[in-house]
Amino acid sequence: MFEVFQVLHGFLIKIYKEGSNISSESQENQENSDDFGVDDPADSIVSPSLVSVYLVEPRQASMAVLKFSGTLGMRNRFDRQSATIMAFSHFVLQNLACKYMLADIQGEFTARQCVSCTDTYTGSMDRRVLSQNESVLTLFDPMMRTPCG
Amino acid sequence: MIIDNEEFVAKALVDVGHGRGDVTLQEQVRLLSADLVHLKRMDFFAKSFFAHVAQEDAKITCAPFSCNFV
Repeated sequence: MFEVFQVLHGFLIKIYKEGSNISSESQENQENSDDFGVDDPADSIVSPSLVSVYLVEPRQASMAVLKFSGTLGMRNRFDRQSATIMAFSHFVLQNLACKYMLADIQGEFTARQCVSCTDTYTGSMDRRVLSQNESVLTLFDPMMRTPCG
Repeated sequence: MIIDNEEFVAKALVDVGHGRGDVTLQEQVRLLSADLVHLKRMDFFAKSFFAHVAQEDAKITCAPFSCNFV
């Protein structure tokens, strides 16, 4: 399967410190166990407390960001690159039964991050094999909109 | 930060709009998790989209600088 664009991958980092407070969840468990007269050893474990949280993403070196849609509107262009992204946007809208839609679609050309770099898609205009070092449009920081906003 | 020779950036939330600079930890977790969910959801649908394109034998492209010369 040929992927003409990719989505930035990311993950959360949560930093905890050892604390003395029992979390509300374990307190609730404690109350429930008291109801049945059974002591759960897990309740006596001290829960670490959350100190900070970060969203971690690959560093984007390029400053040339391509905007395909904004938070409240869209770009009206007819090139095939924009048409592909708009087709993707409509595909998502259709699959979510118009309950959610992608907004603020933007991206930049970066090195391919996936492992399937040598896959080919013969139905595409790009009938070639992308090498691992070849740049590909990477979409990032999307928003989701609902009919209510 | 660098993980397996790949450079990453860690984003933290700071409220600059009200000049206070404070966002509660719960709010940070909620907003950053929502951002991550948006990314993962978009990635999920991107894969579905490519499968659908292949099934329909449609023509798509996002090659750099190709759009103005077709």
